[in-house]
Amino acid sequence: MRAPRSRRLPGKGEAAALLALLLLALAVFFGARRFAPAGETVLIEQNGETVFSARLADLGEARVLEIGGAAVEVSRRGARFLESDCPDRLCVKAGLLTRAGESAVCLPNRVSVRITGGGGSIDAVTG
Amino acid sequence: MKAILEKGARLTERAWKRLAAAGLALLLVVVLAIALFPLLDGGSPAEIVTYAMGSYVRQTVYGKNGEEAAREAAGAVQALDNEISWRAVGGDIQRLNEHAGDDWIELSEETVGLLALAQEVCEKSGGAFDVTVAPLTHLWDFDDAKNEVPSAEKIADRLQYVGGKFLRLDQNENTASLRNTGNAVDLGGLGKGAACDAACAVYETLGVRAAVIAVGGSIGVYGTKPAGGRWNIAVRDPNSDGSIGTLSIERGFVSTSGSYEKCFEKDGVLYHHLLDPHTGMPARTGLLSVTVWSENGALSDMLSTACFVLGESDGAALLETFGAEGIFIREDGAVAVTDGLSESFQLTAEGYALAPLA
Repeated sequence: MRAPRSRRLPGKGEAAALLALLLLALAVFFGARRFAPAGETVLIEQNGETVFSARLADLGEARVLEIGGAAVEVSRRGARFLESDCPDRLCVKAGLLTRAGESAVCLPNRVSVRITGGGGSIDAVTG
Repeated sequence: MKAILEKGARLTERAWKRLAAAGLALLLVVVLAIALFPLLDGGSPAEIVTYAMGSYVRQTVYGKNGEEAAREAAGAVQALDNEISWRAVGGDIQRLNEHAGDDWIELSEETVGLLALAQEVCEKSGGAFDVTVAPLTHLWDFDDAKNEVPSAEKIADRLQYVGGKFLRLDQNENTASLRNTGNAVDLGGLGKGAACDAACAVYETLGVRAAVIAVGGSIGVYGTKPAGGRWNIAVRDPNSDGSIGTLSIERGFVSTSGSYEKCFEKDGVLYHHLLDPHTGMPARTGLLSVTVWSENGALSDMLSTACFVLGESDGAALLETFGAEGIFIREDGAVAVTDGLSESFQLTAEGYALAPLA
């Protein structure tokens, strides 16, 4: 009597836990989608030519792109120069760019990273 | 021995059950919190567009009562329009104009308040902003798109009816009068800004979390932006459809007066709606547009017009007396910003350059 019961109970609990985990995953998924900055696009240019362009919302976890002597990290949070072989490293000091209109340039490598806004960051227009 | 094992087994079982229950409860709380967060947060904001003040009224209202608040604010804006538009039959301003040279008229407290503020700006701007400019604006009639330049004689004739002294107010009695037949007031230079004030008053009464309202080019922001950070207001590029830059504000109101708004070109000359009340002609002060930030919407609207007419130097001085800030875009592409906005305005358009105030 006791043995089957004790086997069945964890089964029930496990099912409930799995269900909860599934709900949690769904909630996180939709929550993340909801709060991801919408509309902004990361634009990376080298020698004035676009070498990378992606909507922030479409980017997942951080990944690193090697562009010239610089390493640029892009993620749904934004973009930043992670590393650069230039002397002043001003580009790295610019830090993480998250909002439309923000930019960082590595002059020695002629690489620029900027976030352009697809309206997502603009609340209203005057004029 | 068997009993102990049994007891142990039961305990483990109970502990496991408790653990599972606790874990489950915790997960449910987290799931519920995330699921309900949008409700607490206001979720996706209510966005409604209505038309009033001869323009669109676009509201984005955050909070669980956003929809209701937006509807009520739209109603308040329409109610204001019905009182202060010179076209609105039976409204305050239409009645005041109708009784010009006749008698004192009883008006709503709100209208008298706006007229009083207009008189203050008129005085401090040396008449660069003047609601009694109506005889001139009606003569030019930029809304009609006739695209005709009135004769010098007609303008001179209308000019004698323009002047702050013709409008008299009694704020204790909420009455006003226009001295002579032929005098008239037009609140077109403050209506959109005043509409933003009216909407924000509704947001406050109903306790909405945050909102942004645009009545044409006049903007009002209320509360703290749910996504965090400041409210970003794009400033229109006078030479294109795009924006010249972004103004980031925590609170307050922004209005813009530009020569590109209501205008027509005749024989190679641009005639725009920002009339100089002293000459009856479109003001030419080397500016393309002026954007003004103020704690008060009607004031931001009036001051942007006054600054355009006064020009950069006198305009900036006027802003200072009202604790307002401004962005002056010159015809030559130079953009000058008052000290209070130097950090919050970001110029992004090409072909323009920041310059110190004249």
